[in-house]
Amino acid sequence: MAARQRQQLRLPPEVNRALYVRNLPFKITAEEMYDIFGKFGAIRQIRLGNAADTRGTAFVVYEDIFDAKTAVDHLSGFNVCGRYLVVLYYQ
Amino acid sequence: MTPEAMQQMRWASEIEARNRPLTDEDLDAMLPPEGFKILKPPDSYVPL
Repeated sequence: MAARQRQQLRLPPEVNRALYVRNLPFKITAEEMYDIFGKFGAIRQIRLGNAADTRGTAFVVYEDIFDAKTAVDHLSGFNVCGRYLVVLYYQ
Repeated sequence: MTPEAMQQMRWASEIEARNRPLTDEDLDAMLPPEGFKILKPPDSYVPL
């Protein structure tokens, strides 16, 4: 990774590396998840909901806080198999 | 050391504090324990 010019701006307090994603298709695979979210930076971990009440949601944790912010800025409203993703910072 | 430089340093250290590496225990503490399974990264996955 080229040494990105680290923006010297402050991040609002709610910006966080852990993202909570909703409205995912139930049959989404690990490859698709890593493909969609991996574009924005190195992923620390992804947890996909597999219980009745958590299916269709996931937690995506990035290594770098700026990558998480870029992901939220770009992915909100992203269309996956006809469903619009809801991507929020997890508090 | 001008006040702006000091403020810049304080902001940088704050960002560093929020960006320190997360251990697995941190993740378990942060995220809900049940109802989710950890996805194994596919072999084709190469971190950026």
